[in-house]
Amino acid sequence: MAFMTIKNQSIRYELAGKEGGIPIVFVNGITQAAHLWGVYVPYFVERGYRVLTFDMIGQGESDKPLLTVSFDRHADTIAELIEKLGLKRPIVAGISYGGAVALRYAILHPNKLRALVAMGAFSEMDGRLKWIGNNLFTAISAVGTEYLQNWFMPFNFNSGWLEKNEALIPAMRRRGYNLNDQYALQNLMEAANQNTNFSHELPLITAPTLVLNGEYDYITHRKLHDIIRAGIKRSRFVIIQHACHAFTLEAPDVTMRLIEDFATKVERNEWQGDQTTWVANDDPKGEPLYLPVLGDHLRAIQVATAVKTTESKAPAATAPKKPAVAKAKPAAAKATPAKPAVVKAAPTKPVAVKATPAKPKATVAKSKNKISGAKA
Amino acid sequence: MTIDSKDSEKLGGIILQPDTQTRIASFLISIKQQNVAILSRFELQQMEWIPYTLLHGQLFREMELIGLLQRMCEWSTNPAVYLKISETMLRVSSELRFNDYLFAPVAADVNFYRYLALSQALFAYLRFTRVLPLEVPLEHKFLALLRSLETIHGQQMQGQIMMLRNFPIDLTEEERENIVGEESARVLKVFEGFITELVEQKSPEN
Repeated sequence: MAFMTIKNQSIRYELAGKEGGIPIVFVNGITQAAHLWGVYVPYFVERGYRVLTFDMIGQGESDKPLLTVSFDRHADTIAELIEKLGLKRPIVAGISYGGAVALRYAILHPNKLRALVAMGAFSEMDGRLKWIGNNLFTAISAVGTEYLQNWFMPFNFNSGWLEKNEALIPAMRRRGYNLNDQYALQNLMEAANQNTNFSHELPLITAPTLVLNGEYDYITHRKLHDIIRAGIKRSRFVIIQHACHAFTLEAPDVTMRLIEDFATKVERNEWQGDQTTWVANDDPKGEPLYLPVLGDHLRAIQVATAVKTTESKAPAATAPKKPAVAKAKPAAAKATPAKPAVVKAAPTKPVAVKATPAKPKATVAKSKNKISGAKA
Repeated sequence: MTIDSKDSEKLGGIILQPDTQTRIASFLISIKQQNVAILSRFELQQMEWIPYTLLHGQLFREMELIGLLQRMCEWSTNPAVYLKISETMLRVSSELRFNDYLFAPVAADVNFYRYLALSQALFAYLRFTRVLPLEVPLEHKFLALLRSLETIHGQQMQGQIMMLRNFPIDLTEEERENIVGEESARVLKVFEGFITELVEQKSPEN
């Protein structure tokens, strides 16, 4: 553990790995600190990288912003930290708040960057994120740090992870509580709510970019990542299956593998930053690493398009007596562009489509909510 | 602030002793009583004055917390503890410069701004449960109070930060940050000094 003073603020950092290794910098999110990159450090050090982790201003053991701090100030702090440590053109990887900071870094310091990994990130506050930001700010200022931590839990982690780690969570929360100062978190939240709208600057990012997003991330949702993908020329967007907002903690093996693959390809000049969207293989050792997306990658469910069939009725087993029917106005039934349809889907595939222009309705039974349809 | 893990363990081992509870409760009560004395002066201001609502709320919060500390502490019966507390609080009052605000005329000036910065720092940094080992349970009524005191302090801070940022006074952003930084450093030094005193000094009766 070491400290460096940058612009009158003390920053706690850790630098690991051999000199001369490709530098990679990890930037934490809000209510986090450097120690949450714990498994990432040995993973990348063993593979010859030089790994820098640090507590972002306002968090952990770094100094706290007294009145306010902007994303650009965070980005400039990273630039100075990197320079003082003699790291040349690192890969910068940030999650959530740190993802937005990493994007700002790439915009403001394009020559001090080898590649960029934006995870659970955002470049603008759209309608939903603005409300989420306001709610988070109210949560911390009117209730407190513990409530903010509690609020994040079901959005950061899936049920499986929460159940599996139930015994560890109290100590994890308490450590996070101790490391954070409420006023500093308030200042960080407020800065995010006020200053974030830089999607128009994304085309300034010329570095190879990997955009990662959890399948069930309902804080920084997929549309926000798609904006980043579309804005950065050499980007590729990869969705991590079954993961929520804090997928770096939920699925570290998958995430580390993706970052390593990305870094290797960048180094070999093999990175295909073609603005395409993929799904990460759920198995950290499975092949191929990238699976294709089937259907609209912005949807949470894949809606069957009208498939003509001779059957007029669905089999009895898939047709409940009183099926849950989502009634839609004709104009809203956009899943079948040609004409409204009734779609009845069996567990594996749509089995019947019946055109009923007068009263369009859709019934989908037991359909899987897989983004890609690909089996991990 | 950071605390050595050995000191943290030591504090965890003594924090529920009546002598330690008494010293901590007295430290907090004394600071809050002096803050109440300052805050009560603003009660005479017009209600239309922008900071009035904020300061009025803080006055009654502080009084409430003093009452809770008095009730939740298991008070020591050792007179030497109270002698030690007197010595500590003389030093603390002087270091926090309460007199600068207690006897100055009430005015929307730099001195008032500095008081806002001081009280913000008092809300932000007097965090006893943070320096305890993670293994120490917080269910005990005294520790639970110290924890909820942090939460209540936190709830005061949003308005306080807004006030420090936007209070209409002829100070640049940098000057404001400097004042807030100075008062923060002052409070942190006092708090760290007190923790060291608790950990290093033997209990007065020994």
